[in-house]
Amino acid sequence: MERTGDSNKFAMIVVPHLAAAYSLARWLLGNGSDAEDVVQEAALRAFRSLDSFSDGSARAWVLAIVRNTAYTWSSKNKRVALVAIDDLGLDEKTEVELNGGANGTSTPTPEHELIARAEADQLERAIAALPPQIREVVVLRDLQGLSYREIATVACVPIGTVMSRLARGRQHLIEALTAGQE
Amino acid sequence: MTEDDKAQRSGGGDRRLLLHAYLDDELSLPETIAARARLGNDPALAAEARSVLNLKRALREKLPREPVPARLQARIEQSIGLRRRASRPIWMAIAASLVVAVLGSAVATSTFMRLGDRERLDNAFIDNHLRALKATSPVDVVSTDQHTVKPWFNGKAILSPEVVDTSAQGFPLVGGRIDVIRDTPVPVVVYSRRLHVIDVWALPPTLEAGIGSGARTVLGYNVLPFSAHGARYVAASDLAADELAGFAKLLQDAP
Repeated sequence: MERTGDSNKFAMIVVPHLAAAYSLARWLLGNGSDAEDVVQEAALRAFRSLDSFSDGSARAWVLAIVRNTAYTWSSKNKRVALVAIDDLGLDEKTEVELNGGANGTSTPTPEHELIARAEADQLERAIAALPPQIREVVVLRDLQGLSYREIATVACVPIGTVMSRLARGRQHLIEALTAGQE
Repeated sequence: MTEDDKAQRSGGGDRRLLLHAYLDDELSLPETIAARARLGNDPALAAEARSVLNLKRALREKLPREPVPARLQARIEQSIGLRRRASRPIWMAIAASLVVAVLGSAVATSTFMRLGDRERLDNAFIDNHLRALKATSPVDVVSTDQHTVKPWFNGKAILSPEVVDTSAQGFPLVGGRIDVIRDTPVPVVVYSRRLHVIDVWALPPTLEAGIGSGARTVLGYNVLPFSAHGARYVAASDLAADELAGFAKLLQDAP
């Protein structure tokens, strides 16, 4: 195999997804310079394992490497806490149902209007407050447009889990955006 | 117990998961119909749907998409470049090409195999697709209206492609452009799926034979030749292969 072939392949398969990679790393680590280190490391990993990419979504393949690199990186650098999903405390199911019960009933300003008026910094804070395993699903879907199947590949979980995390994450965001604004 | 199991246990939770999947265009047709019916009968669910849709729109429109910092891009290029200059033992190269050869027999296309005519043609389509994605806009005529896009092609290419309104199925029309492939102007109808761009080229007769048939992956992009209404088309996108096939089916079934 030619080495120029390798870098051509890298340019075609990995480079188009560097912006998505950087964005995912930023959302996972909350810090631009950490994200740069992680994306650089992930890019090298991707370059070294180009031969293992044969089929399917290049974006999902690249983002899976970025995600794994981010998690490994954060476990080595304790100051960045990627908290585990259980740290949220509440049982996922219970919480989704509780939130559901409070929704759709009478509020002075309709909930959906409050959400439509949300500003960028408000959205950013709300996303940053999500636990990482939920945050990554929301970011991959609503900011980067991946299909459920691609997200399942990136996050290494079944599609059912993608669905429940996405529902839960959006529920949290809706709640955060409508809290305290009557 | 897994999250899935938990999700399965409650009808209410299921209903909510299906609502999100419905709003994300991720349900099968029967499920979509059922979800739509449920929404019509349940005002609380409909209110929730409005909130979720507004949230999706806010996230899409208000959060800026940051480019890769130039410094990071340079660092990555440098590290790949360094890597490229490092010499690799011959045996590694041989082992790697064996791997590719074995994979290549299973996978339709590998750029490292000797490029046949079809592969070269595939690459030409993907080159155009990538160039369009890098441009300010992937289309030369921007319109979600099929009746604006179709006449735009008149006189610009040999044939005028079918333009179908698939927005109801979650594939809104984006517009059209003309690519030049092997000295021939080829009309491209551009659709989207979520944030993915789908190019559909209407093949002139000179390219029909060369493209062959069967879905394949070219440099990470899915390429799918298909026939519809007596003409040959090629679709390409970074959309998942099964979704792309579903989209081609929509175009084939369009009246």
